[in-house]
Amino acid sequence: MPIFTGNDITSSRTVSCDVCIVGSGAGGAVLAERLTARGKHVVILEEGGFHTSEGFSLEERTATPMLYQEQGGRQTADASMMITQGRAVGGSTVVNWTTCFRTPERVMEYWAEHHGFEGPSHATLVPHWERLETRLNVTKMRLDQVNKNNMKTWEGLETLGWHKDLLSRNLRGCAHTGFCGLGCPLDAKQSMLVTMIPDAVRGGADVYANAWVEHVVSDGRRATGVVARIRDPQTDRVTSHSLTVNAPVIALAAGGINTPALLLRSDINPNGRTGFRTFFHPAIAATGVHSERIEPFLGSPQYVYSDEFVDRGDKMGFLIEGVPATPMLFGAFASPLGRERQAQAELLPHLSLSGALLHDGFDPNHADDGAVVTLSPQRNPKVDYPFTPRLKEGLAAATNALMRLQLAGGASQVWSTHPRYARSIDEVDRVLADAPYEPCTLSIFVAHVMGGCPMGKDPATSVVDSRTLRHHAFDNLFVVDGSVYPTSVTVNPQMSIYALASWASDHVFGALPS
Amino acid sequence: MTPNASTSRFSRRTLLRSGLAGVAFAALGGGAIALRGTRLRALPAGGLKVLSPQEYAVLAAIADRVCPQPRPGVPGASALDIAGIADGLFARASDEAKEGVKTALRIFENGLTGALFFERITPFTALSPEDQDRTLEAFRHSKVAIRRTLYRALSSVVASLYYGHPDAWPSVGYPGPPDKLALRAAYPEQIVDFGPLRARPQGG
Repeated sequence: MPIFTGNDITSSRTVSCDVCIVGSGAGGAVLAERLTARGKHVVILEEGGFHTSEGFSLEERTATPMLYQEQGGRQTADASMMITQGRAVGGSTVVNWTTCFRTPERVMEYWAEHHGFEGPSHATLVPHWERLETRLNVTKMRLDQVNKNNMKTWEGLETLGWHKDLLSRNLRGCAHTGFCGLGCPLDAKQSMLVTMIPDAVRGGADVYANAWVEHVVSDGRRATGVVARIRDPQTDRVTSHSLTVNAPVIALAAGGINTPALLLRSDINPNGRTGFRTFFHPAIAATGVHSERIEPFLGSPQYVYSDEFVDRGDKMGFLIEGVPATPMLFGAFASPLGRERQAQAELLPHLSLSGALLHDGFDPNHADDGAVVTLSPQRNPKVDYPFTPRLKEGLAAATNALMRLQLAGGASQVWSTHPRYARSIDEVDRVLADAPYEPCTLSIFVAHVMGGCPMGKDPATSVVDSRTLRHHAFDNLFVVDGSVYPTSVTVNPQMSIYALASWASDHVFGALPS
Repeated sequence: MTPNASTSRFSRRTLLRSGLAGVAFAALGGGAIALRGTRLRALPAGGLKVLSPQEYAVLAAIADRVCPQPRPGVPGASALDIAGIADGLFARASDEAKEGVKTALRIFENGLTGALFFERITPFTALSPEDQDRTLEAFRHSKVAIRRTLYRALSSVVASLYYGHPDAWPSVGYPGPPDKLALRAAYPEQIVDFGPLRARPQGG
């Protein structure tokens, strides 16, 4: 019951267990903890490495390739959206910004009304949230903890009379150093790496890091196992060693993009819907300039949020949150050439930022809303995200709101991610009047990948049965991660996935031979 | 069909699937996009892992214009060998991603693709700095989506690596990370001990 890495696998091998879980992030880790607590032997396969706080460098240039998918370079095929997804034991929970929300009840009601969702009610999930929030020490921030950067968002919200509140976060002993996105150096973040994975391993689970699952094996009626290729931890190249896991029950928890890609590689796509309806919460920001030092790289990334624009009627809603700025992140998302880019960069200590998460997946006129995941010729995931009129309108509305917000928070100048510049709220409409919202005309950041294996009732239109998270094709194959959501969750999704996995563990357990 | 041939065709199709760029590629006859007249640069001391000397020169030229111009206190991209660092990063990428980068650099540099856009026949690396800036701005603001994609993909790589470099931090007022050992020493009780959870060496 240990944690193995690629260094430990020196020849091909076959192992057996009760449940094989592919992925060690929010879904896989909670599921493993629940199953081992009931005495089941679980094997967890994780593509990424086993990295702990002792080895976290706190430097973006080394931590990003180590902890993120595609060395931090994952993006849509047209490079219009940069996708930051974790790739390590603990998954994205190792690098997320610790923001915790329960799934909004209105979103689950929408799923029931529009997507045949018959899964757990909000009330059914409450006991799971309560248990998990206690285990992960989810705590609401206090105003006196808010850093200068987020305080500018807070003050802007107050000036404009917009909704505002403090965020809850999963922390224990946080020093507010601001390195959540590079792996917490103090194990203060209660990620899966330091909570559920150790719990599961102590309960008897085996974890194999550097194990990239190539395909699910089936006999046509049932899934019988998975085949993983072992990666060299030093080079990340696939070695000649394979790991075959045979199990009566298999749960896929590799997350949005990777779980649908695995199903596609395994030719498990009976209705042709795998990979469709993938959602991102496309995120943009506005950057404000202040004469005082803000130091947006110090303090935790996020403390405050606003629901002000969540309900925009028929238009795309968005959630506002404070967001940080670090040098490499800044370099990746700024778009101008040298002189203009450096002029922006030299203001870094004096910048404050607000961000918006756009709520994709709610377009009643577009069945294939959001992104689609397909396979490249070498069978790697490929992601296309069409820019619909609805998305463009949402980007425009959010850009306008964020620029006003930063100026209301005291910024002497603000710029969008195009960039378009304004020095007063009165200028915002004018400078944005002809701003483009086509692919690669502004910087869009993705931190939440959802959907691609949407749950529902109808096997013709959904991939997973929402009553159990069982795949429609095989009764011993489950999908237990954020890929099952029929729309975006509309809030940072970690708590949603934890609770859903906790609930689904009963169904996975029930599928085991007695 | 060799894997390389398949990959190469896919990459070009992906990169060149829109409008005018697709026409431009068709005019090239589907053959390899050759790099002729590329102004080469001195290679990194450790050599290159993924890029050819020509591709390295193109990426270095792009980095020189996308990143700040050197002045006291502000190193240029060449001084930090941003293109060489990128080459090292690409070494861990998938074969498809590597081929995508190489194809993008060839398209950017190639005089024939430039001519088909009615702008230039001179390779990018042979342009004056001012014309390189004009070319980059034309890609950045182009109405042709693929050109914006090329600008976004290549500029974000070099700019992120530049600002992620410790030598660039002083110019942007970033103090760098704190002393991790001291930080951890202040919170010893919460550091998770993974020792008992790690696999033991076989036969040990």
